Amino acid sequence: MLVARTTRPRAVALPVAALTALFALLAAQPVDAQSGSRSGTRTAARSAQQDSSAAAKTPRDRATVSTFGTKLSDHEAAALLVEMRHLVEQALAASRAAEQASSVAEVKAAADKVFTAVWGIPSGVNGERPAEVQVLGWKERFQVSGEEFDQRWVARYGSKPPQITDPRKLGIQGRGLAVRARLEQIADSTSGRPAAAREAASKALASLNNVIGWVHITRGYKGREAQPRASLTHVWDMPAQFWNSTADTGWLFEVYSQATNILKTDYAGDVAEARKHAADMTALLQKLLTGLDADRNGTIEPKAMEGGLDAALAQAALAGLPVK
Amino acid sequence: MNTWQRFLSALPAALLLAGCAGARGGVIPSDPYAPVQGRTLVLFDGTSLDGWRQIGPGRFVLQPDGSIVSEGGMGLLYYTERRFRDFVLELEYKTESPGANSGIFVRFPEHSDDPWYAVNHGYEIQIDDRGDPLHRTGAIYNFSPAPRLASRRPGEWNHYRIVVTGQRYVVYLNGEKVNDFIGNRGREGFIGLQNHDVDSRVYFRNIRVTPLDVKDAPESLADLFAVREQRAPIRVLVITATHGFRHTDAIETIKQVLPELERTTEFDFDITEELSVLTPENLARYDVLFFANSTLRAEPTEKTDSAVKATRTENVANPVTLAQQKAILDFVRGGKGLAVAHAGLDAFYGWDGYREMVGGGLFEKHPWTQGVRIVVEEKSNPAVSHLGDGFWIRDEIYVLDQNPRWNSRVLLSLDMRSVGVDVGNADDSRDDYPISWIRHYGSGRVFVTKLGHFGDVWRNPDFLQHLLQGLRIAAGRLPAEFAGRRVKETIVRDVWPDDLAVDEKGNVWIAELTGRILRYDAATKQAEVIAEIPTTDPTNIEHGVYGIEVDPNFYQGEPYVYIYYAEPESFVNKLSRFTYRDGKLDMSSETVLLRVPTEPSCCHQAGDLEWGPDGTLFISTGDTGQSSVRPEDELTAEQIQQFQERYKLKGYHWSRLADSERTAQNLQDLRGKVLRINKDGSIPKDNPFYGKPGVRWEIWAYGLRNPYRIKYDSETRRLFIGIVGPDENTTYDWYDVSERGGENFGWPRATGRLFYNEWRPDMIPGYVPPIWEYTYKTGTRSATFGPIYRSDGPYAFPSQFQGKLFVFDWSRKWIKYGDLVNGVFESDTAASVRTDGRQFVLPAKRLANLKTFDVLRETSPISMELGPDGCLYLAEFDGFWRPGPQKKANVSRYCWVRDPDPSVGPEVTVGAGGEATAVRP
Repeated sequence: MLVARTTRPRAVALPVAALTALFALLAAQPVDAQSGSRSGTRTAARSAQQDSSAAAKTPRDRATVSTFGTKLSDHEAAALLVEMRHLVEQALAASRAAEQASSVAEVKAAADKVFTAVWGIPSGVNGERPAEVQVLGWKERFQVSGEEFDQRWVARYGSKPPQITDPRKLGIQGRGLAVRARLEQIADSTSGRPAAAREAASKALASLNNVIGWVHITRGYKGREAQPRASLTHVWDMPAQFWNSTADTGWLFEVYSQATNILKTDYAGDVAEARKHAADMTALLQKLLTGLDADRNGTIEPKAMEGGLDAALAQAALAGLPVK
Repeated sequence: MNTWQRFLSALPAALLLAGCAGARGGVIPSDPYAPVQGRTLVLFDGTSLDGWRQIGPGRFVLQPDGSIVSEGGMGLLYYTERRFRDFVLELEYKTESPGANSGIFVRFPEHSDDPWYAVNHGYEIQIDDRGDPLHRTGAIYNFSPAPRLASRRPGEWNHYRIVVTGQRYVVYLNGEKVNDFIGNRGREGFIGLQNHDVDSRVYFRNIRVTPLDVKDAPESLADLFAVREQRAPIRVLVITATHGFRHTDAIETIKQVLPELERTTEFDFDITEELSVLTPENLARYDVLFFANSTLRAEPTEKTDSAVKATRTENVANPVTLAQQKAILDFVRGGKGLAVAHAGLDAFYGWDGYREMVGGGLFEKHPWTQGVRIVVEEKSNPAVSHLGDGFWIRDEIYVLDQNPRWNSRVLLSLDMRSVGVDVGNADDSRDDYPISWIRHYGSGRVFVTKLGHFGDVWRNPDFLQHLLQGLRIAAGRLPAEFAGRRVKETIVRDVWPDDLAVDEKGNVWIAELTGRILRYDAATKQAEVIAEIPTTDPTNIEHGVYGIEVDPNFYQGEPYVYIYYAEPESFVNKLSRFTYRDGKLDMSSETVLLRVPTEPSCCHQAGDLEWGPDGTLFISTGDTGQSSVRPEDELTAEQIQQFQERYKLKGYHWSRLADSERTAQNLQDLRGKVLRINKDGSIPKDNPFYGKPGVRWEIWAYGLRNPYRIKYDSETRRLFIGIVGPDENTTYDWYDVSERGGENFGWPRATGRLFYNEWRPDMIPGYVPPIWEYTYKTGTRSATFGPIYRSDGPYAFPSQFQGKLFVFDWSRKWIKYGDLVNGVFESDTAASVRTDGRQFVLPAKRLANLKTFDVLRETSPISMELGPDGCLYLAEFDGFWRPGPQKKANVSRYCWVRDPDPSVGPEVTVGAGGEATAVRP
């Protein structure tokens, strides 16, 4: 099922020739979309020739600095990926139930379940009254301690490890970050895996990134001081459609936003409106599972802006992860 | 009946005159397109030249479209059927080329076979866009210059309206008054059109005349300004003596015109070059002392600056002596009047008393000698009420070394649009040039006009009306609202303010970036620390306490203070509500209303709070981006080149600020936005994205980089957003306005109206352009909004400030005020920004309708609020990540004090450690 685009801006109107070229490029290349290794900065839309040239000349290392998930075995990564799907299914069930809820409180309880599925922590909102939701701190969200950055920076802000480091306690998003690290290792040209497996891993990465977002934690510089930087520059040459889509920052955040909205709205007893919002949440959850046919060619492909969690699972299996 | 009784009896008539400028010229309609009563004669109907006669070489040829066109020359086509006395002549014309020459002749009295007869015996209203002011379109050829070229481009029709009554010739071109001239040639005559030369093809059509039956039409300047009723005389001592530059033409005209006016008005002018008249005894005989282009020098004292001595007073044989200086000051202080015209401000350097008396500023330079537009600021003042919203004049405009606005009542000022920004003083802090003002000095009255460089100005009816009424005001014969003055005082020291809020009782709530919260008590004038918010070290990252607001119902049972700050360790930005209790913020009362996750990296946190409609709260959030505009440090030139070739972007502005896409353009993230929530943290259902699936409904507007300060105008229901832009030579800071919510202001795909790479406005959903951008090229900048000024408080600023938007720049240290014209801050931007179809290619420059309110020296403005008393409260910041070493930061306020005499101390009392001081502009 294709889910109608809902939130981010409409498709842009590039010249036809440019559109054709861009989509051809996206379709033709393995949509690895993610840094292939800790030392390279390959991008989804770039050709192999471009990749090797760019990797050699890129002045600074912009790959993720988090080691989160890098020690996962294939089995562990596969299990996390499957758990992600289970969490989405549970969230879907809760959301669908909320569409038939008899009270606003029930809808909000469902939204809390969805929220918890996303982050691994409850929203903190109870009952019908609206309230602000809890959020994870930056270390939990990116799984860094601070040691990854400049010592002058560490001297000011410390380097305590994140309070939660188990991906199973970090919801869909945390699991996704961990799995991504493993898929990056498999997709890397030095992984020793067969080319087909590496290509499948790249496609799985693209689909997974559509779900959890393409953002990396890297080093940014204030003067010469290396600081944390949540970055998308590694996919800098993606076409305008990518930036106007919601895939760049991840469809999961649409779900999170919808759950948060429901929790923070004062429905004043208007359960019908709350149900409608729950239905929208269901549709968003469904989209991140199935993906969408962004280029309208009749198929949902495992590439940027199209593949969802199901595509990630399928490609991960082809890459050699024991997905069951 | 003594003089005073005569004055009182004459006052109603004087007031009548004040509202009836150029009383005898009153037949001239204020609307140049308004129909004139009378029987209109069509001289040329488009089909026939019956009644017209061609003399001299060349001819006019009928055209199929109902026009005629000149060919060859020089000749004249004139209407022979009758002479015209007082009339309104209207016609349309167009030229084929910019240099096409022609003219419309009026009132040449006799038939002639010689086209030069009309030149020598009538008046020609010129058509020639390339001539000098005295010989260009709109000029009365050779007699009266046109201050501006109001004609349209070749090929476009122009509309001339020429009103001739008595000896007054008023010319409107395309609805603009371009000439007003008192002549002395024949009172009636023929009307004709010139065919000038073979290269000048000029078309005419719709030629019609409405004869007027005008009683008391003015036959001279004296006639025009004649006062019919009895008035007490105004005795004016006019000094035209010069030590410096002598405006010979103007001074000789003064000597001719003022005696003319003396014949028909209540004025007695004694015009002299003799300085010995400046004695207490002699001055006592006069009501007004008038320095008319008198570039006099004052006798220096031991305290006189050596540079002033060297450049201004050396080699002056007979400077105005110290005794004379005292006599002049005493004369005015004692209740008499002082008038100063033009070069009267190029005078008396080193004499502080004179400088203070005329408003603080003396001549510095004159960058503009040209036609300029003058804006009327005080439309009800009788010295300018005849001028409408503004007028054009050809004159020499002085720049003074200090701005008199802050202790004077400004009547006229220069319209910067008429002089451009590349000419003269391009300092963007010098954008306010008062042209005329009045003020009190002691018990006396001072009237100053910068106009009067050229001799013809002194025969210009508009100028003379301005001058005569100004003299009447200086003499105390016309009522006028005089100046108060601006006073600035520091109310809190030993503080490092980042943001402030002023409650309805005038108490000031102050947030420091590093966590201290202070409250300045308006009653006790003491500031105390009321809380220490646990937050982060801002060094190199800009996190800390960002914004503070006080509940609008604070004194109605909701004693809440709202603070937006970074939570340490988690680096979640939190908007929390605290209860103020027993002189402190109750930290246990914290209720978190909003959480915005961020990371501990540089920069762009924004964080301003602003009350919106219906008790909602706006919060501005930065994109927290660390992207450089041109991330070549991450990307190779080859990569960028390939990208540009792929999109055919060679030569376009390059940037790929991908990191800011994840915040500013991401509707699932609260950063790079203006957010709006209810006071309890819930989401207002009238927010623009409410109900849209998957979008954060708190979002009000997006596509923002660092909206450091925002302001909501409850009257117009508009939200003003100042954007601190990137540090790059080709980029801007800019100002946005949100009218309905949901706007996308474009970042990081555009900076101001400059679009990066392949982006176009139509590719950015919901894109709304800024109301103004300004460049980095003249230095760092940080555009921020202050309040929209509306106040009737005891210290409220005058009408010129009401409804004005205040903006300030932390980097450049200025505070400006202005208003929107057609929805934007009108500037030369409109003329200078070009587009090649895909992007804007020239940078914006300087504003035309923003004036500088103040420029700080040791500190930077960082937050500005309007208090209930009408004062503007300012947080003055110093340092960057930590307080500056001199600890100059403070909280201050600007108030308008209405006591008439600047020598009287300010009524505003001061806080502990502070002292009130008049601000030097």
